[in-house]
Amino acid sequence: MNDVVNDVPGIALTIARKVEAFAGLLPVVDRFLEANAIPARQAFLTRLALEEMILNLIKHAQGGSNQIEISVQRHPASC
Amino acid sequence: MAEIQETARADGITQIALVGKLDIVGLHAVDMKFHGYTAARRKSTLVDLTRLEFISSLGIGMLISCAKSMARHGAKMVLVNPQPLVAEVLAAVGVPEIIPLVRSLDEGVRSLKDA
Repeated sequence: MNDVVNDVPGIALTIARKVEAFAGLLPVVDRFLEANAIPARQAFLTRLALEEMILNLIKHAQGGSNQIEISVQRHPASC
Repeated sequence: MAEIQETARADGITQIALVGKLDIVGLHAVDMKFHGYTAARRKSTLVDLTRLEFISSLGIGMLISCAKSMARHGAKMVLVNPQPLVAEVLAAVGVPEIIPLVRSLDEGVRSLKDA
């Protein structure tokens, strides 16, 4: 996990393609969003998009890696 | 994390509050209990969302599944006072077309009694 990814605030980590692994990731995401003062609406939507994407990958993706690489970055122009 | 808090009522209506975040973790914490309060009881139910901070498709699925199960037995569910972002998500996927959304518990009671 990093605090800076590609020269912008961010986190990057790899989890096992399991629901339990994703559940453990959520507090990390929440801390990143809070530490970077992401506005409430953007934080909510980020969390929602992340959950929907990752859980769909875990539950429905056919084949592929048994790991998921996740990167969440804050780009100033988007907030 | 999420939790359910029940408020006792004398009118035969079940009143429960969903509190916290109804994400994958929150769902595991409340799913069976929510089914117990709603689908298993088969009584008209007010679900207070005032203190629900987050909901994803898993949580929405739980609400709809229980509401439909209740409806098959003549019971109705009403969602009360969701926070703006939660309301936005519910509206985006059409939940109000399946489960009524109201702004207050009183409005919810009237809705249930009018059903």
